[in-house]
Amino acid sequence: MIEINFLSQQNKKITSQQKSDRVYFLYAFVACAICTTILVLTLAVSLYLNFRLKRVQAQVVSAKQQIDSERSLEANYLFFINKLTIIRELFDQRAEKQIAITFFTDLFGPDVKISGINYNMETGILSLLVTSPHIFITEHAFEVLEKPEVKEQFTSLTKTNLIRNGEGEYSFTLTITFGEEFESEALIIEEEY
Amino acid sequence: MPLVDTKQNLNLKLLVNSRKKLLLAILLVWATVFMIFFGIKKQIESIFEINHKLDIEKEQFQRVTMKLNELKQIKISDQFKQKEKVDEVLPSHKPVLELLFNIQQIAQSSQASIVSLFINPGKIATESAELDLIETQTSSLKKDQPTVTPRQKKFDSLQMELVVRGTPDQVDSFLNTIERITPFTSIVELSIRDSKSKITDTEITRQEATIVLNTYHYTQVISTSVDSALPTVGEKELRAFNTILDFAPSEYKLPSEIRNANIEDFFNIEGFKFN
Repeated sequence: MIEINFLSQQNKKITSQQKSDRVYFLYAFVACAICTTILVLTLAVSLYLNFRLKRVQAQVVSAKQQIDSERSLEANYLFFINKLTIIRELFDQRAEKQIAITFFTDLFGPDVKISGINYNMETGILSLLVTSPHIFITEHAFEVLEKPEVKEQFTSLTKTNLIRNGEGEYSFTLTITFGEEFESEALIIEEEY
Repeated sequence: MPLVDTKQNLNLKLLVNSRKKLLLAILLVWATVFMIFFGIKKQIESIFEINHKLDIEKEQFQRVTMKLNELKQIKISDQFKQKEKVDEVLPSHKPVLELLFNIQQIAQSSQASIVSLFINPGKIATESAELDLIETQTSSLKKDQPTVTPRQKKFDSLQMELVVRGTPDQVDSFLNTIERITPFTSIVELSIRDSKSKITDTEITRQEATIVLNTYHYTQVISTSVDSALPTVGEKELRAFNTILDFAPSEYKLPSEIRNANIEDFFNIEGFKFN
């Protein structure tokens, strides 16, 4: 009796399918294994980072507590620095006046006196009352003020109120404005203190 | 119906038996996809987030550690040890008594005489602002610098008008010293008048200076956060500091007792007696 296998083609097909299924399974397994490994690794990294974060946070808290215990020292230091900054600003503002007075005293010479000063530190306006014993010295003072080097150094220079007093002395008011827009080359404030 | 059922079960069993690996592969693929989207992706996001937090915390830790070291350094800083000098130059209260005392001191040393003096101190401030350090940890504040309330004025001034008389040298000496006393004082107005008189045959020149002085005191309140950086002393500030060390030393001491030199009780406080 001849045996005829009607499913021989079917078996071959199934065998071939199972072979390719095994390959698919292998790929899927490898992919899954890789993903599992990555997941485990990321979990480990995450746990480690969390641990480090907590440790650093604890260190920060401890350091902050130490800083807090030095609060009064910090306050004193901040006041010290702030006061020093204000003193420096006051020196700067005052130095403008002092430098200008020295400059004009040297410029006019010994015959001319600066007999009055009015200085507004906030606006930076300095008025000097310049007094000379007679008109020739006053004229000389005017000439000196017209010199280009004086105008270069003090761009905002105005002369007003020329007066002759009972003793024959002449005086006039010299107004100088300091500030950013009236930058003077003569004002090297750092040298003042 | 039961026949159909049996057939379906049979097909399923056949499928499970013959394509078991494929089904497992599909299951594994699903598991992998699930793992990627609900495990790995979330973990990686979480790692980045934690890492970012860690960076912030590390930065903060560095800041606070640096600040802690700076605070330790401050304790041994030469400038800070002489803080009293800065407080003396720019006190945190209206320095009426100090100013009067020190003016009298330089009038004595220059031998010029103070003819008149006018001062209107107004309310005398207390030193209550001295330690008004407000700790703020709100994120809205700048973390790197101590902040200052903008509306507040940094310092205030006390104006005094005085007339000084003496020989030109005495007045000069007075004028030269007045800007080098504590508290910080500046001449804002000055008017000098000369007068000549004859005693026997000698002509004597006298000078009278009308001076308006501004004396400054500190009025600023500071707020800071625990991790904000400490400011440093700049080069210019250091120069200013060295300059104030050369200021005329004041012998003024805060009054600490009331003496009963025929003092009346102006306020008529019942039961109060001077010791």
